[in-house]
Amino acid sequence: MKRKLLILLTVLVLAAGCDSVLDTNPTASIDASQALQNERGVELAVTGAYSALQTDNIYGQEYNMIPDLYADNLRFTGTFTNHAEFDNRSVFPSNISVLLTWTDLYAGVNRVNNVIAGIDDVDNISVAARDRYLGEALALRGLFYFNLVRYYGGVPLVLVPSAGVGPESSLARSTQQQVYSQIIDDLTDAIDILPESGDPFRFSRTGAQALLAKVYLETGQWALARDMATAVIGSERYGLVDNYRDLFTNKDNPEAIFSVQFTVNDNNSQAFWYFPQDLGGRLGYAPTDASSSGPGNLVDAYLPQDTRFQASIGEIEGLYYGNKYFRISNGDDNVYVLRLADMYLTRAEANTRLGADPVSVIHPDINRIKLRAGIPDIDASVTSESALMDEILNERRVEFAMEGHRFFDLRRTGRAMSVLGIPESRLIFPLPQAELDVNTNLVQNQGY
Amino acid sequence: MNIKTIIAILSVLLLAAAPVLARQAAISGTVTDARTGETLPGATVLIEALQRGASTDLQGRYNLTNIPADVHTVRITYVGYKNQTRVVDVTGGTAVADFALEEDFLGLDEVVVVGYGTEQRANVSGSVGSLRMESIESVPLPTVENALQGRIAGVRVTQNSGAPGSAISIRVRGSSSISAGNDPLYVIDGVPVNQGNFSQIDATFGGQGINTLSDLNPDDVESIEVLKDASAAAIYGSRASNGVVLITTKRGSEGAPRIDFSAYYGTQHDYNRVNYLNADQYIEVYNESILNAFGLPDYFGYEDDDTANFVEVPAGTDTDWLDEVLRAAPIANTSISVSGGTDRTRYFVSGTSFIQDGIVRGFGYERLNGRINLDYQAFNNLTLGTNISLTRGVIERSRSDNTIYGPFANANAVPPVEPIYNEDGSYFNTLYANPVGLGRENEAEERTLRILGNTFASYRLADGLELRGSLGLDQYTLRSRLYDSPIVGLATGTGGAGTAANSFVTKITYESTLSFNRTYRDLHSVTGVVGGSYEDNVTETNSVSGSQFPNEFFRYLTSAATISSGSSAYTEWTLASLFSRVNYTFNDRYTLTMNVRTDGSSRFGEDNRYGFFPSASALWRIIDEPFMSRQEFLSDLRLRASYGITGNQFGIGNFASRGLWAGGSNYNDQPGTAPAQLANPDLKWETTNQFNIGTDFALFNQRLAFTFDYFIKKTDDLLLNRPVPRSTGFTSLTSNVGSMENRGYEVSVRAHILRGSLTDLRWTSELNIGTTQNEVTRLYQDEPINTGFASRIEVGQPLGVFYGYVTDGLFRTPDEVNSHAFQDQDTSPGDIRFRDLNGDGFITGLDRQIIGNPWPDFSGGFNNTFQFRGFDLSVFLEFVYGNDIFNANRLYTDAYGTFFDNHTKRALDRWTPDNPDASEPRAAWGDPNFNTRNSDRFIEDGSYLRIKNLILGYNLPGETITRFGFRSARIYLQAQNLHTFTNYSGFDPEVNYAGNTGVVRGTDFYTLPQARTLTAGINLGF
Repeated sequence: MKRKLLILLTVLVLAAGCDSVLDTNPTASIDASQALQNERGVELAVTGAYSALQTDNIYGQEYNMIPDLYADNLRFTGTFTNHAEFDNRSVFPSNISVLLTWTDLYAGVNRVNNVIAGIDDVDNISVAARDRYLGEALALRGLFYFNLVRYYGGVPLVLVPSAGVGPESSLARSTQQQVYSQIIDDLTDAIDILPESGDPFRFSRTGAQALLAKVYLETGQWALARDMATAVIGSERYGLVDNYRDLFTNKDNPEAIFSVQFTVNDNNSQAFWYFPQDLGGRLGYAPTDASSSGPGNLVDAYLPQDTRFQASIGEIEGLYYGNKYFRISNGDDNVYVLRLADMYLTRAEANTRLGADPVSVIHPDINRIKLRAGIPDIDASVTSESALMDEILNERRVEFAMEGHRFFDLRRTGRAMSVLGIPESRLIFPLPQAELDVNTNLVQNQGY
Repeated sequence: MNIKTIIAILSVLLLAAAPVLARQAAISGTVTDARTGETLPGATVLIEALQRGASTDLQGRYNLTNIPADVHTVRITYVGYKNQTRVVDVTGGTAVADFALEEDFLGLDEVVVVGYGTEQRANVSGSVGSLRMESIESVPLPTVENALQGRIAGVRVTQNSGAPGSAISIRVRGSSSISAGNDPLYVIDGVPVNQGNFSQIDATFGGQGINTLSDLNPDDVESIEVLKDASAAAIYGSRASNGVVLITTKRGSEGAPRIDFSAYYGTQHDYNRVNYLNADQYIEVYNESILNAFGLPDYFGYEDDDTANFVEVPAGTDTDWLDEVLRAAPIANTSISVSGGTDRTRYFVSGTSFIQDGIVRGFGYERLNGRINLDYQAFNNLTLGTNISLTRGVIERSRSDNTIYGPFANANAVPPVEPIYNEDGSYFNTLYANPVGLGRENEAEERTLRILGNTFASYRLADGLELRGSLGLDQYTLRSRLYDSPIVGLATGTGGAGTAANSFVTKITYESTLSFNRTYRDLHSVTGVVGGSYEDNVTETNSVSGSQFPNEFFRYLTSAATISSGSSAYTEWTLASLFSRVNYTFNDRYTLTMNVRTDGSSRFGEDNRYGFFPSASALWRIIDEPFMSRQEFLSDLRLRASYGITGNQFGIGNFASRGLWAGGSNYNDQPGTAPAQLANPDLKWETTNQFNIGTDFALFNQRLAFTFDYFIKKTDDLLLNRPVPRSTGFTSLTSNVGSMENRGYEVSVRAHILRGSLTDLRWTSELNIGTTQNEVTRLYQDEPINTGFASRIEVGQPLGVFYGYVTDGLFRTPDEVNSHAFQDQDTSPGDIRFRDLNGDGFITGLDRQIIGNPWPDFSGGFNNTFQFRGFDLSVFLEFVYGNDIFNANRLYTDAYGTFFDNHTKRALDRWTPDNPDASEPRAAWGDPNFNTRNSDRFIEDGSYLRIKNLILGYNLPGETITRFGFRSARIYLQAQNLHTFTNYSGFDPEVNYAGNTGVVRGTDFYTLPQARTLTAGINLGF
């Protein structure tokens, strides 16, 4: 008896150490090697890459707000010092938005890199699907890097998926030019293979073209910018909506080239931060007006009859607040990355730089925007390059207020320093300190 | 073969042993104090070989019946007295055996619970701290952890906040980890239990989490042992780096039923408020700052004054928001237990109800506990038993700490010029959400239902050889509900929001041990245990959230128009282990102990799945050496030394070593996947090497006893989510990088200053002090990590030191501004001068340094107990010395003239041209000089000495109570947190805004203070 028990005990003790009981598996994730095995896997990964755009630090809140806050369209009215620093145009490398925007954009880069690197090893994928998904991934990579380079200047160019962490993870910065040329390559490749049409919530061929037009404009390649904008406008897939407010109330409108779709399931907090407390929001920032201490007065930048004012800015008890994002209850306001009005004004700007005929070539593009807004045409006497640039810039300011263009527009046109009263070093944001700490091959931007 | 099957077979075999019958006999007698002759009620009488026992009654009498007519060894044990053993012959059927016990101030004969067994205190070679709950029975204890505060040297208990039911921090010998958790392992009646926070609704709650440990009923606990060094703890292997807390619950003993009833009731209130500006003062400061910034005069004013103001404050408005949210709150506890037993069955049954309202509206805690502990001697060789406890807890929560939606936080921030209500009775829309409305309208509750039980069978194979199998279940069910009203707070924009979430956490433990205890030739004593265990942990969660409630009267999701999200998930981890302890004592003087454990964990990759954790310790009882018998000076002298390795694996993900893609990256309502985690196949245990040396000695015939320990604890392979270049698309990789060291000493002194019979004054004094010096010795690339407000992990510094700018007074003149390093273009006289540490002429991030340390130089407790006739008085002081607090409240309260937040009265001494010698900076809208940047301005001394408990009790005399049928009766008055001596300017220096986190310590950010609690109670025994 005693011996039997001892034997049993021994067995028991050994069984307790038996390995199989230690094999457990996650239920909400899969091993990386299983992710991209077939067409469905690729589709899921591309969808996942789009969802990278939705974080608060990209189109969920900040990428379409901070360029206005850093410029003269928005003022800080909240409690978070990271936003206050942007309003003060004195952003520290430790700023959490600087870090998280970097983080989220590179997370997106890694997602598309997985698709781009892996798609040709996937069996059983049709050519059409391959082209579409690869094209979308390339276009998205172009967008992620365009957003990176506009914030930080030259950044590390990561073009392969990350499998681990080693010396190869600590890339040095590429130059701004190298980054732009990669963006242009990616978008050009994408344009070649993307399908012509699709819903405005994903990249189609014209979406990639529109983004490329903006990239050319940003890099001073005026003729190419003009031609790309013309290609988009000429595709006749898009049209300006008659009522400016429809841009925000109607998500699937003919003017949308690419907008980030938000549904109740992935709600953003755009309206929450723009709305005052009386409307259930938190008023993290508000349109600049006559009482603002810093530069700028967005409220007075609108002509009295401009229908865009009512569509963009609300007022409650003398307080102005941003009203483009208003779906506070479900947080499902879409955010524009590309829309047709931008193409008209991009073409107008490129043409101005190219010295095209103002009245016959440039004015009609600007007037399309003014007409829809219900304000008078541009004066025929506005013909000099600087006067035209002023017109375009002002038009862009009120047309795209709170859509994340203003600071980039001022910078691209060489006016940021004078309008905002900042030194040259403040024309780009600092690299995040935390990234510099980990990747010692990085060099901080001058002046930070 | 399946382990469960084996356990089942084993149990059946154990039951197969046959009963032995014999002729019956009885022993009776009286137990007295040898010095005073007084009888001792409640002493334990035990015949170990039979596993039979009894307790003495009020007159010190005992009676053991139904025992075999034979020669028995009877042992008497009684707390505070030396054991006595005598051989009694009852072959004649009955025998009388009286015992006179000698006092034992050291408790050397007491049994100490250690891992998988017990040991006599005198033979313990490791560092083990003990607390007997009866010594603190009149202290109101919301949770078991509260009991440990200040009671055991080297065990630092911090109540992070005054929020009832929130998690408490316990650090045994400092912090030994950055990410893998710093909480000790909790083992109840031999079974490790669920610990941690499983709430799914506290993402927006700001700071304090909840903890499964709050479900335990302090009234059920007999004793708590804390295994501090590696020798004691190593038998718990991979989870023992942070120490092990062994909780032993009460059990029955043979005899007539004993009924114990206890109850207390009391009130709690806040006792140290921060003084804020009133409306007039507030208006003065803000009008000054807005005038300075915008040239706009009289921004604020009253409706009935003669000026036109931008903001017209209704006449007479001067809201004291703290007054509106703070309240006197009741606390009450009622407990009843019945215990007793027959020769074969012993039982302990209890029920307890505890209610504690928070001193802030919206907080509260209620708990109902039931327990049954049963021992049944089925046959002479076989004992079966079970411990089952059921708990129902309800924690009522509000947001707190780092939030602008918490009633207490907002009561600090919202200005006095805003009223509570509009004229129509609705809540006024205050600067931040209305504090009163938040407390009243928003709801969050955590309802737990906990089944904690184990059953065991113990079979005596031979004398001193016992086989034991047990099955433990800890089923923790948490139902969380969150409701944000459509009329006030976070969800007014979404028409209200709600979440209902369930967490089911199951821990099943199978365990089997063989313990032995043999003495050879009266010289060699060998005791020990070998065993194996398997633990299966499953967490299942689900939740659903919705918004758009019809109005504020609908508070459950069934009325929500939009169901915005839902989820359900399952995760599991397992641990399989073999362990052993061998304890060899030679000649009662030299003891060697070895512990070994091998743990295999599912959390680690194939290659590093198993960890081996050995330890060894030695004890020399010098006092028992023959040469010591010639001296009288020392009455105890023992030397201890130990060394061992323990591990840690708390706090990391269940699948941290694997490269994973996760679902949930959905877009446009289509499913998507994305890379979620980089693989690290090399991931392994954190290991701590600990060396301990200690001594126990006593003077004056044991009346003055000291325990001293010194330890060095080195942790390597720290589990750390080490940062990776984020350009990889990832932020961190769970890796073994970094090292940390803790060293320190612990002193306990216990003095029986006055002693005597029950009619004389007795005075016992106990002091314990512990120090821990922590140092981070290695990090990934030795790169510092900043976290929290101002907390930092840096090599060569203690974990979580404070980091920031260094102030150098105020600028008094424009010249002073111009001659100093550039701070900001708008810097003016009255702004703070920050030191240009690197001398580059600019104040930048490079001008920061270590500015404070959240860890104390020492901490401890000092308890004095006086007994005179039936009266007793105890004064318990708890102290912490030398730590700093980062008072982050002041980032907002002291941003003079900015944010519209209210300021403390410090603002009255702000700089103005008329007050050039001010101590505080000027009021300037927007704080252009960034005077509120993290700097030593907000570092405060966090030392405190607290009158933690003052208890005055009276035990009704025996003859009186016997007449009414009582065994004992006691009434008492108690005051908790009667006073706190501190220089800290906030509410309470015992504070951690981030709750029980590893690194961010000693930071105050709108954290609820602890209450002063006054209670009156009664204990009755029948």
